[in-house]
Amino acid sequence: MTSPYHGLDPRQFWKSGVAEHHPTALPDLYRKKFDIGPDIKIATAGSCFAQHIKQQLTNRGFAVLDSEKPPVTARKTIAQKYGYRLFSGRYGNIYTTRHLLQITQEAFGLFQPANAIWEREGRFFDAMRPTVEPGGLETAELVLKHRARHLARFQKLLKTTELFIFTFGLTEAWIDRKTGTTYPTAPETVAGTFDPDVFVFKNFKYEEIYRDFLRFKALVEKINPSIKFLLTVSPVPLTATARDDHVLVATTYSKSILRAVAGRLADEYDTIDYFPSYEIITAPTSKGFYFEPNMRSVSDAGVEAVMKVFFAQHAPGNTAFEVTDPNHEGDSRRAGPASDDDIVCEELLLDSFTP
Amino acid sequence: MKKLCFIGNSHLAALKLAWDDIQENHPDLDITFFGAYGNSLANIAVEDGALVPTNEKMQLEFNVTSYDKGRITISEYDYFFLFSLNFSVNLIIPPYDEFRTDSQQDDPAKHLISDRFYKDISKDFLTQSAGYVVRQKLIEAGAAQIFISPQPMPSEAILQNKNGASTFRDAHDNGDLPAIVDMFEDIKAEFAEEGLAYVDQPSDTLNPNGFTKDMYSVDAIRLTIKFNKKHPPDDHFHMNTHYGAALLQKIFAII
Repeated sequence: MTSPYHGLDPRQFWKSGVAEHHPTALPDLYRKKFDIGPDIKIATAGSCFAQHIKQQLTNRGFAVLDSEKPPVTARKTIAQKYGYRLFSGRYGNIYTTRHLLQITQEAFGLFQPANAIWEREGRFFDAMRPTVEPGGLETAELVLKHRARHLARFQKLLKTTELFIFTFGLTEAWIDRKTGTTYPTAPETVAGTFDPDVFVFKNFKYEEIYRDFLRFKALVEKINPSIKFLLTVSPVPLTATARDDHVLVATTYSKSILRAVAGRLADEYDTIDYFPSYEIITAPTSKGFYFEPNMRSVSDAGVEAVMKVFFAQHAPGNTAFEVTDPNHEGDSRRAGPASDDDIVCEELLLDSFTP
Repeated sequence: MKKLCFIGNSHLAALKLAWDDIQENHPDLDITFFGAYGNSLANIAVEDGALVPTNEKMQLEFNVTSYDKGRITISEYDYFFLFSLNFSVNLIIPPYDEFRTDSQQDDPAKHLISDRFYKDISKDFLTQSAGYVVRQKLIEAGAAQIFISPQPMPSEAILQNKNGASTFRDAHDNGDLPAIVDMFEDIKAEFAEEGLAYVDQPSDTLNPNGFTKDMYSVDAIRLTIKFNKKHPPDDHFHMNTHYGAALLQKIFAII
C-alpha cells in the first residue's frame, strides 16, 4: 500500500514548496489554467488593488481595454481624480460581486438602482460611482445622462472583452433596504445622506457572493460566450468594519469568504482561473514585507512580487514585455497609478472617521 | 532707455517685423527678440540669472532672432513679454474633436465629459505650455515685469477652409466656441491670482464672432533666418506685421 501523498509534486508540501525557499521566490506558486497572451483583450474591474493589476498589465504591453478614455491632454493625476485610467471603464471601485452583478444588469436594462443620485452642497453624484466626479455635477439629470452613456460603454466592453479580471474586495457593503441596491460606499462618505430607514449594512455571505458571480458570468456569456475570467482577492485589509468586531477579525472573515468563493469558482469552471495575489502578499512567509508601514497598503515591492509570478506564466522570458506604455511621457501620462499613493480608493475615506 | 525682452515661438515673427518697421521712431526703446519653435522653449534652463538654451537647435534659433545674443540675461532687461508659446485657446480646444461637455451641444458620437473636468485638464495643460513654463523660469532667474500675450485667435477665414483645422469651425458652427473662449478667460483669471499678467489681443483686431480679422493674417511671414517666407495661405493661425504693429502699440501703452 502506498500513501496517497507519495509521489506528489514538491510544491504540494509545505517543506519543499515553502519552507526550503526564500519567501520571495516560491517556485511553481501559480500554474495558469489558460494562456493570457499580449493580444487577448482584457478588462479589469474590482477593488482598489485591481488598479495595480491594470497598470502593470498595460505597462507590460498587454491589451488592456479602456472603454472610457479621457482626452489625451489629460495628465494622469487629473484623469485618475475623475475616475479615468483606473480600470477598463469609468465605473470606479467595484468592491462586491453584488455591485458587479447590478451594474451589469443595469447595463442590459434589467435593473434600476434605487437612490441612485446623492447630493452634497448643491451638487449631484452618481451613487454607484460617487468619486468619478469629485465636485459632482450640476443637476441630477446630468448624472443620469452621464450614467446612461457610461453603461452603454460598459455593455460594449463586456461584449468585446476576452478576459475579465475581477478582484474581489469586500463582503461588507451598504444597501438600499427595499431594493437591495448595493453601493460602493456608505452615504455621507463622499456624498448623500445616511438614513437608517433607507440604508442598511449588509455583510454578504459565501453563497450570496458565489451565486452573484455566477449570475454575472451567465449574463455576460449570453452576449459573449467565449469570455474567460481571472479572479483575484484583494490582500488589502478593511479600512473599517461596520460589524461589531475588531477590524482584523472582520478582515479575516471577509477575505476568507472571498478566497473560498474564488477558489470554488476556479475549481468548478474551466473558463475561470484564480491567481494567488492574495497569498503572495499576506502569507506568513512574506512576514508583512509587502505592506507599507500602515500594514494595509500594498507596497511597490508587493505589486512587483505579484506581477512577477503572473508574468512568469503569461509572459515567460519575453524581454519585449518591458514598460511600453505608449502614453509614457515621463510620468505625466502613464496609464494607471504609478504607486500606491495614486490608488483611488473610496474605502480609504473611511479613515477620516477614525476616532 | 527701456529695454524689452520679447520671447516667443513662430508667432514672434509678426512682432519682430513690425518692430523693424517702426524702430527708428522709438529711440527710447530697445527690444531684443528670442524665438524658438513650437513648445521647445519649455526646455529652456535657468543658469546664473539667465535663461539659456538647452540644445543646439534652440541656440541657433536664439542666435538668429537675437542677433547672436544667444542667452537671456535677466538683468539686461526691464520688461519681459512672452508671445503665444502655446498659451492659447488653440491649446485647449483639441478635445472638442472627440468630446463634448455638459454645456456644449450634445453629440452622441462624442464622449461626454463634465465641464469641470474639461476645465481642470485645460488649466493643467496650460501650465505645461512654454508660455507658463518660461514665465516660471524667468521668475526663478530673477525677472519681475513679465507679461504673457496669448496666441491670437485664428483668422475668420478658417471658417471657409474645409480642408483642415476643423475644430474651431465645428465649435463655432455648434455655437460652443464662445464658451470655450470664456473658459480660457476664466483660467487666465485664476492664473492672474497667482500673479500672471497679460497683454491680450487688441480688441479692434477681432471680429464680433471672436475670430481675428482676416487682414491681420494675410501674408504672414514665417520665423526664419531671412524672414522671407510666407506661411501657406491656409494657415489662419499666424499673424502679419499689421497685427504685430497693433500689439506693439498696446505694449507701449503698458510700459
